[in-house]
Amino acid sequence: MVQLKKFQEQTARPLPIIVLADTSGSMSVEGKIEALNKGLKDMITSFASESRLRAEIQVSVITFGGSQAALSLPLTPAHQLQGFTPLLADGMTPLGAALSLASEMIEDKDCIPSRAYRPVIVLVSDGYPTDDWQVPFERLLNGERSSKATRFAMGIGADADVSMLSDFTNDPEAPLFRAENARDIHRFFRAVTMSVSARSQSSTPNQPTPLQITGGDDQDWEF
Amino acid sequence: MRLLAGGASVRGPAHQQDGLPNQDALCVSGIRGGWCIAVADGLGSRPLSHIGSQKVVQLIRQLARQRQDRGHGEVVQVLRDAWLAHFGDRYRAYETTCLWAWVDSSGRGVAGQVGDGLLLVRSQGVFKVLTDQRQGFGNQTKTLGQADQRACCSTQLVLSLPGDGVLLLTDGISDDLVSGQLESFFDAIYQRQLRCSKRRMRQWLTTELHGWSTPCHGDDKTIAGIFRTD
Repeated sequence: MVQLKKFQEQTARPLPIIVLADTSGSMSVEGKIEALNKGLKDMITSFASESRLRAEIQVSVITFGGSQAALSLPLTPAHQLQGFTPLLADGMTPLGAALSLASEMIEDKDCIPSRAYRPVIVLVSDGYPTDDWQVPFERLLNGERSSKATRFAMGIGADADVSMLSDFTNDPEAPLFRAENARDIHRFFRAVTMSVSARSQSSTPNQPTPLQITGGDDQDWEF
Repeated sequence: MRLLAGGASVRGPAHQQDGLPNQDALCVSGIRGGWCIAVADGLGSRPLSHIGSQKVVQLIRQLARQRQDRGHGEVVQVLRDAWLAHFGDRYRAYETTCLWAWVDSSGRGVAGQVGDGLLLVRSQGVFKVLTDQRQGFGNQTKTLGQADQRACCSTQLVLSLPGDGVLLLTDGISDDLVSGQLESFFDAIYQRQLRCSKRRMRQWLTTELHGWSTPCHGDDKTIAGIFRTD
């Protein structure tokens, strides 16, 4: 009989995924918010059905639209998620407030313990921020714990702030991905799903796995 | 005065699944009535880290056998220099963490750590967690090859009372221990050591490590301890 069990944690080590999703008004046109919702839903469904894991994938969604950022989905083990409530697009692009929420979450050791694997932050946006975002941006990129996260970004359409999004990414093998259509959004989330799933099954879950975005489709339409 | 020591190392489920070797290394050696123990955790991302971890525990044993009177803070530099001299420019393929302790027959000695893992000490009846609290996330660690003073901790050991001792754990164990239970964990190992030979202790620890209960655990696991029993 194992006698040291009472000293051992009875929860798996978390692998947190935090999605910062642009839900500003411009996302409501040309099927962008629908594509984002489908991408998120498919990703969460895929994580929830994962087996052979070396980590517990946890998902959080922070939205920035309307007049403020919101914790749309608190950090939750994927296998406990029953479904995904579609996001609605409206209003401004308060990215700075969303970045602050993400920083607070990552720096909080009660929310993400030290035994957790390195978090993944995914930023998705189709426009320019409309609040004071520079200070929260620097804080997230340079925070004691948040600086250690893996950061992916996707710019949607021609009006995305490519410079800011490019500065956000920190994986040399996964620079900013530019989505030209709804199918690109699906491809991006599929790649994120595969990257995180590969990490969660790896013997070294802290090692980043590259985003492998599959080829496009001739029937794609452009925004 | 009686000093006992024991330890065990097991390959983690993730390395069993991938057909990889145990990247941890262990040393438990009697030296002139005292003991030397060491554990090391080769970096999972480095192809030859299992050789790097084996080498560092050998070097620790050699250091302990030398009769030089070093302060506890000097050990890491001597160890690092010897390890780097062995691997030369190729050292990055062999990166490893390490924890060490040795005591002479009077119960006096040193202990220290570079990188992840946990160093627990009861000296003169006072229990201490020597390891600094981690600021980042799991498996993000400094290695012996990259070590600076901030990545190291060390202490003088005086095992003067029954129940005094030192326990070294790689992060495959330490990351899954309930943080408020570390002294009780230390005592549980000590109580078992009281009634076990070195061989029986290794068998018991091996069984415990193979039966690890944290869901999804995958790391290699290595533990070593020295205790004063009377």
